[in-house]
Amino acid sequence: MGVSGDHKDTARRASSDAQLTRSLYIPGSSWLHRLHPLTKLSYAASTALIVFTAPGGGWSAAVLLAASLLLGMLNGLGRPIWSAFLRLAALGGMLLAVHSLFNPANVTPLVTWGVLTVYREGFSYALLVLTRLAAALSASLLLVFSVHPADLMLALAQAGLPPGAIYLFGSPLLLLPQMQARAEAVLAAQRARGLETEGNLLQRMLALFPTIAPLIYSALMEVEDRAIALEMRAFRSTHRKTSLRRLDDARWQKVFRWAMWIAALGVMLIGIWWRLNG
Amino acid sequence: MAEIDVHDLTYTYPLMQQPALRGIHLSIEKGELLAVIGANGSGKSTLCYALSGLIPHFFRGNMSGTVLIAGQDTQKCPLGVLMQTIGVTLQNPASQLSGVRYTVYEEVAFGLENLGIDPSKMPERIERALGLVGLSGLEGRSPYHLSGGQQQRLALACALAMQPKALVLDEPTAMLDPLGGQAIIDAIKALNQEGATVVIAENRLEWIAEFASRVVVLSQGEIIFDGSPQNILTAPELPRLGVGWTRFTQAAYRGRERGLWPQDRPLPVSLAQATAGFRQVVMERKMAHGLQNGLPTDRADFARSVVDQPTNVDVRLTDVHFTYRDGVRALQNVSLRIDAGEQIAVVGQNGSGKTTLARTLNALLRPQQGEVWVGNRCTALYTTAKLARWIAYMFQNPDEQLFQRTLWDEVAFGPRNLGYPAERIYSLVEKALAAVGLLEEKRANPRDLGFSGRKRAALACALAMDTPILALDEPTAGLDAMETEMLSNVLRQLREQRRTILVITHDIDFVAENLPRLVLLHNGHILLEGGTRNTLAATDEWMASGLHPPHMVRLGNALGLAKTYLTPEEFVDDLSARG
Repeated sequence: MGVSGDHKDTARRASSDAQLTRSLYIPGSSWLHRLHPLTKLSYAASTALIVFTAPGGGWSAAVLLAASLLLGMLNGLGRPIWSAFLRLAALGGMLLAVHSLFNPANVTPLVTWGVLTVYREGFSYALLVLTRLAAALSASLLLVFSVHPADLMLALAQAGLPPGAIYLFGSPLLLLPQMQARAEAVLAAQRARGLETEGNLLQRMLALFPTIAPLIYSALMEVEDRAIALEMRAFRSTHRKTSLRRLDDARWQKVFRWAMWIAALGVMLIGIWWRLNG
Repeated sequence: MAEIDVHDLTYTYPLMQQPALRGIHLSIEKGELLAVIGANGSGKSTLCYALSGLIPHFFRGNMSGTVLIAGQDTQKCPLGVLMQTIGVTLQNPASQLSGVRYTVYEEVAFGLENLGIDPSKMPERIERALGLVGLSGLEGRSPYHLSGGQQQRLALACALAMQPKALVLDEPTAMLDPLGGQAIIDAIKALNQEGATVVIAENRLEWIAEFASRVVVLSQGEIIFDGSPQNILTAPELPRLGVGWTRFTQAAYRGRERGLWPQDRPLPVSLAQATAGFRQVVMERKMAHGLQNGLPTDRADFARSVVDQPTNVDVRLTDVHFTYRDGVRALQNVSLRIDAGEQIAVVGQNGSGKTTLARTLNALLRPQQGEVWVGNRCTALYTTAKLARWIAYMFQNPDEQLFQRTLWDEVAFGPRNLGYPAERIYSLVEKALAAVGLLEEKRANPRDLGFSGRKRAALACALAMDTPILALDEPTAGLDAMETEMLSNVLRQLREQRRTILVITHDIDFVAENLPRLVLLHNGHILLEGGTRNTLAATDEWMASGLHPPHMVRLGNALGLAKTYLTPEEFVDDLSARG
């Protein structure tokens, strides 16, 4: 991604801070970072479409997962993607266990430990779902790790989307880290009032409402301030909006995006046909 | 023609019975700097909303009368157009950020982009606006990595870049430390000197005295005084209205009662006026009695002498080091002992380690090195919830804890967690609510209270825990003069009960008047520690910390007195005793 027009100096200065707003974004200057945000958004969306609608087994998902992991590793994002997968490993393990043991379609025993029997059908199904989820997740992580939400919103605005819709789409990405910080503050405040949050499962369950409720209430109270802030900056002005920065969008990237969308829609249509006639 | 013209404005918020503004008539000329003062709930913010067009476009409600800004009727003109005429900033610096731009430079550009300004003309406007508020050099920073004071100046720059005819600023210093607030005030003064019309709601009277050209006082939605700072800020009704007086006015008023301040001399509102007025008295007494000799008994020493460890709980920090995950070393080699029953203030600039220190006391933060003991308990062995039986903590932002449907249940939440019997909970909650003046509101939803009400609710929550130790983080922030007096009374009661109190604050005047011992933190180290008077007398260290001493200390210094006076009463009593 680059900057064009007469304002390169301005934009370069404006972008010089590596420590940007708190978000999932990991600052960098790799080839992936430099791609136009819409190219990466298209990749993430078309990957999700393909892995969940492609006909047959999970081969397409496996190939796209491998491609995303390779892209991540080549562009310095391998470790954070791996770290995200590790965080979700318990959930994946649970999915695998439940389907392997209890899927209604289970017929063929694979391994038996005492009273527990792992079945081929459930195991295969869980593996397919996990591969699909991993492929979609890794493509999405490439997007959120390499594109700052502000750049994504700028790209959408320059693509002609309505400002209100862009704000609605982009603000959760921007507010998520702030919500996380506030959640930590709420937890600290309620612990200081004698709420035990570090005990057994029951204690943790009981602590859920006193920790979530202030988070939601304070977020709702801030919505008004945020709305006023936008009003004060003439967000609803009827003028045609301009943009200080322009994101470079090379011709090949535009072509690539169209190709990805056509491929994804093609795969989806084939998938539908295959399911109806297969 | 006036820049802003308000004619018979009355406004009632949706679902409310009583108007928030009643029959307001106000005409503000070009280049005026008008300060709006009043107790919390008097209508200051509502007036700011009306002057900026947010009423009626954003806050619907019921509005009658007219507001003209540069000849444009706010009821007829769309908000997007009005925002080119009037610049607005609110109290909370962080919530004014657009959230969609990731550098200071682009944040300022956001409003210009919305107005459709040609990008080639933006740099000049942005650089000028940032220069005016003193943020040049920070263009590439993330707005979220600025201090509160810098964020507030950024909000001001965003408004200025849109080249408004007038600025409306709603308590821009309310959430800032003294240095951040002073930077804002300096920026506003500079803007006004360049000819900008400014309306500012502000409760720090010493600052208003310094820069306002005119002051209006609001009470229950009505303008009850309108005039020059000299006349308005010395009006005898201000203390009763919850606005209070400057410390200089208080000292001179008491001095007048004792014959130290001439009856025909106007009461002072600024340090310069107070110094000029008291200089002659001081000179006479100096010559007659050698006033510079001998310090009054330090209140810290007094406090220590009367405390006899009634609860057997004290706080000890031994060689404590704490470093945050991002590498910021917040506490280094901090050792401190707080005896049972002591009341101690922890002061310092933002980032000096005040809150970190307080949070190690109840194990919200666990030091990487060193030990923290509460009585005979090492906090490393306890959860925060377990330590809540001995130490209650009031957080700076009340909204991070309130969640119950009624105020009574909210205050009872802590005692219930501690497993107190029902009768004791009832008694504690009622007493705590009465102490903060919210007993009549006990069935109200805590989130329906104003900010200062929610702040007092959070204080009641801490009081009702009935712990031997209390830690209060910025308890005076957002309180008006009357509410601050209420807080002083609460501290007085706690002192009588021999509770150990630790107050983290930027309000150094409050410290001087209420807390006998002081710890000054600087870059994670204890720079000074001791009795408040002696600590405030250490001018060199105080200057090194970048903080201003309290107003009465500054008056004493300006008069060349060796004594360190903490309150106006003490200053006048001492001068009088020498007479």
